[in-house]
Amino acid sequence: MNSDESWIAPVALTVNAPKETEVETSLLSASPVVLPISGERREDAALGHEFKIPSTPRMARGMYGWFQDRGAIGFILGGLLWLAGIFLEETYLFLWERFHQHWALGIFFFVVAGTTLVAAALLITGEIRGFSSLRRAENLRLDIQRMWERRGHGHAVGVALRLRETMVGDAECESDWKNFNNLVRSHYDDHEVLELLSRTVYGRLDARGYRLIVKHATTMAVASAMSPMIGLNGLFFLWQNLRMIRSIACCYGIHPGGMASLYLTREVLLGTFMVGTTDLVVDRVSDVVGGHAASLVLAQAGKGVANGLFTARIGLAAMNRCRLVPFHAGGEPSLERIRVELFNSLGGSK
Amino acid sequence: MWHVPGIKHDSLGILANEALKSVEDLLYLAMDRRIRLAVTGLNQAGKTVFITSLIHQLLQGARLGGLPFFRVVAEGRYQGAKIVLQPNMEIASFRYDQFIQSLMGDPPAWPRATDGLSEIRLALRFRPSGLLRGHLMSGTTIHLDIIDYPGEWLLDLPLLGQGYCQWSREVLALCEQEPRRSLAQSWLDHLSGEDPLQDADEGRIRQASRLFTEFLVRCKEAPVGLSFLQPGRFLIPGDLKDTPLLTFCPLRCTVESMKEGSMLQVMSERFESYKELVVRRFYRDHFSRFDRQIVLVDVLKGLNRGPENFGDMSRSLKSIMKNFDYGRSSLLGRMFQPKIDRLLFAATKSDHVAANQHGNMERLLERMVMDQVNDVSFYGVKVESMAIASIVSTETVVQEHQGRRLSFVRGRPKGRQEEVLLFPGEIPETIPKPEAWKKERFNFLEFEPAGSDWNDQTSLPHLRLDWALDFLLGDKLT
Repeated sequence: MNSDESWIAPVALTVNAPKETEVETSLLSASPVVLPISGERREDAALGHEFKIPSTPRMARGMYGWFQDRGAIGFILGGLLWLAGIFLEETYLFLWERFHQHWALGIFFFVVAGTTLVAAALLITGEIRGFSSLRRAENLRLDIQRMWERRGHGHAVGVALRLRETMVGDAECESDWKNFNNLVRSHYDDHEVLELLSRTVYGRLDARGYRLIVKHATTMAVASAMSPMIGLNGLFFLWQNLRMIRSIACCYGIHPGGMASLYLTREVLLGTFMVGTTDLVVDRVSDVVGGHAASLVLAQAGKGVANGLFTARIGLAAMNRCRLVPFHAGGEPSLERIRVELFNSLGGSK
Repeated sequence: MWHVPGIKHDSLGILANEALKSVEDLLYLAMDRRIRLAVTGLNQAGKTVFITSLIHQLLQGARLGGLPFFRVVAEGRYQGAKIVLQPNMEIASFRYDQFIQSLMGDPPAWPRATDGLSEIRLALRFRPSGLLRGHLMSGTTIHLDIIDYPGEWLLDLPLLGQGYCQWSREVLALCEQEPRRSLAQSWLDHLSGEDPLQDADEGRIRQASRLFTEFLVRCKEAPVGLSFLQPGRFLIPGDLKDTPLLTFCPLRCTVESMKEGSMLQVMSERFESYKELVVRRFYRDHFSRFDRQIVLVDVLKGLNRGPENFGDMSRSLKSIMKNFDYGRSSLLGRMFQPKIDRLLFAATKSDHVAANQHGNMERLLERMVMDQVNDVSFYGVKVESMAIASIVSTETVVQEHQGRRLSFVRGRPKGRQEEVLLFPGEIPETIPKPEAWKKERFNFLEFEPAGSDWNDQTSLPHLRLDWALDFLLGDKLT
């Protein structure tokens, strides 16, 4: 019960205010707005206050987070700038000497150095963009998770706008957004808006995710079955899974760069091993035992199936990690579905 | 053609039909393809509107995107529904067509208060969800049975566990407190001049009964609007009006003081007859074989009418729920003695407050029914509570008021011609203390249906009916 001081007496007014549905519809078709999701208390949000409470603690962000939390990022950046300065100075001296030797030699090395610098700058910019995309997504995911659990009201539509921003240009998703727009109601709480989003727009993204997993798992299974070398097999496994995780991330609107993909892969693998250890062990044991049994008959094929299923398991963990909106009840990804699709596609490829 | 002497062919045909229907019913039960849904609620809780809206959504709304959170619909497995012949021929049919016409009429109107028993059976067709079953079977049908009845009758069920003297003591004890005390004054004055042990006289019995009935009617009427009013048939007598079954009232008594031929004994006999012939039959025929239950609670009415009414509503709910069988049913149990294994508490008419208050409404309801939830959860029953509106008649609107951004509702209040924009106030998360019921602190208005743009091509707007359906029926439609 709110205290007497904050109590507002019931009141009736003339009818001239905009409908909340109209406001939301216009928001959905206009440019995105960022709502104050973190730090707004539900009870006061009802009264239109912006009451700050401590934000949700962010999840551990690995070394990057460790440095950032301790203010060491400036130190690292300073060190990098210092190294870059030395590199530029050395390059300048090197080019100076080459120009002194012969102008053509100088121009050649100038072009080589310039190209290298531009490529490095582009690479670094891409990586920074990748990391910031990952970080934005991570923050958004945490906010969404909080809204999902707290069942507040009036914030989720703003989040939907931000999510829509990540899917601009996706013609297939447009119809899903329209469907979502038609179904969403002003009285839905945040959980309901997000669940509707999960069932409509994210349903299609999930289907794409499954297709990606099946594709990569099938490739992995076939390649393992055909490959005679264990080492080569291992390398291919790593490469294939990296590509799959990155593709799944892109499918859910996250665009990580090369390093960010590695970071994401680490997170996914952690998720695979930590979140579903028991499940994984059971899956792995049964799959390997199955693989061994099969290997008595078709050794290579059994190994391929086992590796394919393991890739699929990683793919599911990647879906769990990259999907910003939680899975609605009954929509959770399952190995069973992948398993069936994998066997189907293997059957089809024979 | 065979012939049994003494029995007409017609009778044999009816018997055969009945037997076939019973076998069919048993088969449906054994296959878990029949659901009897108990729509429970006190008077004016919104049972009829709920049933009407539920039927409408299953018949029409599902096709028009009106049930996005009902899993079988969201997954595209729902194939449709239709009204089929009801199982009991002696009960009136639920007049869905009339109610929907009234809601979509010009001007639209809520269905009138229920004054009798009615029943409806819906056949729901869907594609099973399992990989194998989904491929092998094109569709499965499930029957949904619902009955509608006056909420007042529900409060008779607790009488089954009481004797006349115990009941009398309870009623008289309640009449010692306001608001009952002043409302019962004329009846109590009459009783004080009566000796329960004097010889029975039909005229005096009738007079006492009439005064008691008038007292009950006063308790039920606004603005008092109490809920815990027994016997319910005194308020809605149906075809029992003026019969001796409804001509009695509580008296001060003890079992030992019962004297042959006295007023007390006659009243006691009539009470017992009422229990056996009216209440037990009603219970046996309609209330003993449910699989799922939804309890509709008009929380806003309770808040509007003050702490006494709120307490009365809680007491009524508690008392009603003791009469249902809760627990998990085995295959045989499902066929011969089904139990309620899912129970939903729904705060109705939640569209009368702004959307940001629904969470509070749910939490308040949870507090109200906490004891009952504990009781039934012990038997493995799945329980949920939610704020719903069977038919939405308002819109949530955001408006600046005195420098604050408030969530209003826009709609046409009952009895008015023009729409108003109303900030209905806040709903407490917990049961307020009596002193918190300040004057006009809780003044939630009722609204007329906003049906100007409702027609055959639209689905009636609702609030979380799809969640309710998913909880109550979802697992049977897989």
